[in-house]
Amino acid sequence: MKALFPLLLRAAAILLFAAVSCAALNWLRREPLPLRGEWSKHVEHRALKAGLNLLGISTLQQAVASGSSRILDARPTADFRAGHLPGAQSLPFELAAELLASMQLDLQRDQSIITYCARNDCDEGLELALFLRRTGYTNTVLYAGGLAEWRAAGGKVEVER
Amino acid sequence: MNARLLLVARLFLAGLFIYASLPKLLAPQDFALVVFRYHLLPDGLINTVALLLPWLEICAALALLFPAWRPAGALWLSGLLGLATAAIAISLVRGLDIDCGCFTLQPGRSHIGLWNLVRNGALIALTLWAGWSKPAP
Repeated sequence: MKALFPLLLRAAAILLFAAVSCAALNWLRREPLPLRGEWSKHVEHRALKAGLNLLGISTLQQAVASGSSRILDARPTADFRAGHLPGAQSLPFELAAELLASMQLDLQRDQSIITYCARNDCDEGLELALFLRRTGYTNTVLYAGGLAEWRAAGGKVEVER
Repeated sequence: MNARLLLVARLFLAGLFIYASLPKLLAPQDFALVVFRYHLLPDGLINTVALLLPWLEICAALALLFPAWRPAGALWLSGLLGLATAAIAISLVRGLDIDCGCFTLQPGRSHIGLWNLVRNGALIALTLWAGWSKPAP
């Protein structure tokens, strides 16, 4: 018991020193990270709450390499043309209902579908995935990292000419 | 021999944890996203934990190099490793498709898997040994 007190005291001192250092460094940052973030509004939080499965970058890399899934880019067509995931097809969220109704996009109901948009703070990919699921495409997942995370991981980007 | 091994183990662990803390320290927003993706903490705690964790790693790693502070440093490091291991195990059971964020925040470089559990188990054992063992006289 006697040996435990100095151990806990030093452990508390380490925690205190770490807390002071992290607060000081964060205060000095050009853009300090707020102590309380707005994570409940984050697109991944909303996706999970809606019961949608999220795809990680490693699994996406495998899916792109194997071509086993249909990858749908939910951004506006101009953004898609400027650069998109290899093998992806453009299906802007705003035009999804129209394009699916006109059969311009040959999608099977049980097909594995991955949607994405620009970054982890955009929501077109989420909205498209939810729309597809509502219309019967139940095997739809969201890649929430978006094109930005794909690029950061060194992934190749296709450009439409 | 035992004293040299202990010294090497302590230097290795201190270097490893300082190396692991640097990406988290330099990009707290990215690390907060990694913490968030485990979906284990209340929203209000995510940023605080993301800011505090790398500094705890650094302070505890340095403590490992000073005899009087060594057991406290080892206590923190093994505790942090234990929590990380539990978080990874829970995420694997829940089928989450996420990066570990253990040593790099580069997307796609550290997908969680059973390997993380084995590695962390070995690191916990090494930390406890390096933190509490005394060289034979």
